[in-house]
Amino acid sequence: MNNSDPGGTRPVTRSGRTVVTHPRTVATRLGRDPLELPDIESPSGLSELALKALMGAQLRMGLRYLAVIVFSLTAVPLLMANTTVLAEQTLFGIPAAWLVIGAGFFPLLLGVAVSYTRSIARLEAAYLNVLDRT
Amino acid sequence: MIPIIAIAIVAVTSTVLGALSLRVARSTSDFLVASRSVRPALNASAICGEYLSAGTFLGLAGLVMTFGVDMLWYPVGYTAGYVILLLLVAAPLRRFGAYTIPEFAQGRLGSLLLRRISAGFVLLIGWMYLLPQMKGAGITVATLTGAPYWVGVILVAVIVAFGGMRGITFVQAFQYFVKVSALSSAAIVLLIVGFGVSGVRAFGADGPRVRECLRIPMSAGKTIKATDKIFFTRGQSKSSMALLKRFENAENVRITAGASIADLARNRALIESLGTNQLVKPAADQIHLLTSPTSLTLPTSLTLPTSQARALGVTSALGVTRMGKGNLSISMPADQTLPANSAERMSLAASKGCDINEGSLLRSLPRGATLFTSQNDILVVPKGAQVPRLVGSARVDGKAWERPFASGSKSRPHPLYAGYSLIIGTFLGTMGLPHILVRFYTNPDGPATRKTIVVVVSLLAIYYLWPPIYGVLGRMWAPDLLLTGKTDAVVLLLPQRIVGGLGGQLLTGVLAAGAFAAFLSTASGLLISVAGAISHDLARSSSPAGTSIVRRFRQAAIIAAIVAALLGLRAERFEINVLVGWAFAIAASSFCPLLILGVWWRRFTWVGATAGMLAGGGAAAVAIFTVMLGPKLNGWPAALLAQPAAWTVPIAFVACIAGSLLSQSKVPADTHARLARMHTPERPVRSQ
Repeated sequence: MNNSDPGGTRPVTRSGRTVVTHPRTVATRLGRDPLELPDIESPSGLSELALKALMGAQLRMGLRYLAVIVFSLTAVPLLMANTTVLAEQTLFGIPAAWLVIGAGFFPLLLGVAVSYTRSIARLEAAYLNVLDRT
Repeated sequence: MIPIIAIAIVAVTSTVLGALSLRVARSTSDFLVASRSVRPALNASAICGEYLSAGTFLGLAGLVMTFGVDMLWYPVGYTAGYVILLLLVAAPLRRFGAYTIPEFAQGRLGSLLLRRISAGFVLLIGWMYLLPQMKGAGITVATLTGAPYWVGVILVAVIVAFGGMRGITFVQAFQYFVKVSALSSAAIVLLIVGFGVSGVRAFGADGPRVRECLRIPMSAGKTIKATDKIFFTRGQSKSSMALLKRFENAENVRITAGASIADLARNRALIESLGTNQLVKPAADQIHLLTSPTSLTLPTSLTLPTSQARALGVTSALGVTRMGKGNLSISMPADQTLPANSAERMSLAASKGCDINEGSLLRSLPRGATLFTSQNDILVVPKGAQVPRLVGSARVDGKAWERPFASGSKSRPHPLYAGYSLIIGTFLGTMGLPHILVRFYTNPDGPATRKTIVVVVSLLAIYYLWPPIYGVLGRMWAPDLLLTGKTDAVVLLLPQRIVGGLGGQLLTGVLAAGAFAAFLSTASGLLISVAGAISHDLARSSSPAGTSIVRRFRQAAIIAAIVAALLGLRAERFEINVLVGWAFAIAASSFCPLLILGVWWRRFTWVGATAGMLAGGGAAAVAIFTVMLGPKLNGWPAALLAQPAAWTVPIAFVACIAGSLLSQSKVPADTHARLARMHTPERPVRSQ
């Protein structure tokens, strides 16, 4: 089993599998805090400043990748609306615009997803390293 | 028969699985139980199984068939939605540990009121998203068995209310493979057979043409405009045929404002003597007017107020169009080309590829003429002719169908704005869907959540390649659906059209099973969310004992299913995927700002969140209800209301930020701890 459950509050069944139970049933009644925060000072006793730096780094990375998607999702429609380049080219009788929208965006989206997942994992590992050394 | 068996298998299997899981269930938690050691690939399949709904299985092909390339932005937005979820909120939300959006709202911002408002939006979005599932089930059963529309709606509502696939990871994952293999295998067969015969002729055409003569049964009260010469047979009695025959050779008869109706009124006796008094009662907003025979020396122009036309009981006209309030115009172009002899008519029709035996009833409708249909009318569209247009429908032809953002039609104004707004809505709406967030908790931690989403994106990409193919094939092989408006059924009809016989039946069965899997999985996921919101976030009192919680949850599920069924019964006239897009737009305008600002902004307050949700989500909901229930609009108002996300999402963000800045005293004291919990990376498990 892994030990990375941050809340550390999940029940474990006899079979040894951790079961995610809906906190509505056990933890939350209306009017009560739905989440328990056993380590209110956060796992690493993160200071205000350190958290700001961490969040800033995470957010910047997310936004960089977001920019790629937003740019392509803005630029391609504009290009298609204002030129006929993609409308008139055909491949096996299918207009290029159909292929670009219908299939071409998916590799881009997947590439962004894969690349971001790797980068953010590296960033978080580096952060943990720094934390360990200090 | 095979398709019915296929549906029955899916329905029975899911009911049995649901019943079994209910027996095992001891508390509500078990409705949402999942083993947390689920690997990303399996978990991602389960997410896709729940996510891919009737909207993409049936609706997308229908939209592509009707509106063309612009509709391909839907799947792009649906997929990109997961990427933005990955980039901005997925891992922090998983680390935070809330299971639903209302819980996140209360947990992060500490307001019970906000939780209740969020639960209200869960209901709104959930029901809006259940509508298309219900419609999908209704038309699938209707298409395959000929049963009335309501049968399928009730069937799905009952299955998900009493059994359904209660969030069982393995079953949901299996659903994905049922759907994707059904859609892809059938598409490959249809492509090989279908394209082999006809090539890619859907592209570069001025309009959809029928491949072989089609007989299209029409319902009463539709106005048809012939874009090519077509034939039709009247479903009325023979005596009305006799009357029709008389004025078939009439010159244009036009009834316009300002003239008298006395002549027509005087002819009432004559009309009745011809046996046309057993006339169809006019629909509330439409008048079926019978043009008088030219032999009656009808004045070329007369006014007929709606009330008087009704009083006359005249109906079943040729070429009636409405001329402003209360007045009607009749246009009956001369057509002398049809032989008088019925045998000759039949052979003429046969020469056009139409093997029909109603020769005596056959009429022709010349190009440019309009036809107001009566009960049981059958249009006969000869081989190679363009499918006539349904007046008032939004079908797009020629370049506008084929080219992105081509000039807008009256019913689809400002296509570039609509495209962007659709992208924004689907892009930001995915994270706000009530049934998606809960699935993240089958991941052990943040990084696993990210990996799961990467797999989700690739699974979606594989899936979304197929629906547009059905749309394009449908344009060539089932263009009559554009006329009957049943384009949402195109996926199910193509196998019979293209392959036919037993092979066609088998393919239809495969697709029907996939479609039913789509309705059931999405509908039960949504129903659980809606029922949870009712029983846990909105219900007033709460009792501590687990059993009564389960009972309340089940009662809420049944109530939610009944509401969904009642709404679903009225959803027949809306396109499936348009309804789905609306659910996304409301989700994007209400929950997206809450989640993004909740994860990243330390000065966020519940006041701001409430303001944003009510302003953005409220505006989107009002816009959509106006389109659904209000009068028909044109131009910019129509575009802005039909695709509201582009303006309601910014409103929501601005209201969230402004409201928070004005209420800084309400920033929760534990903001730092909660943000730290969301953003602190997990320590990787070190292997020995």
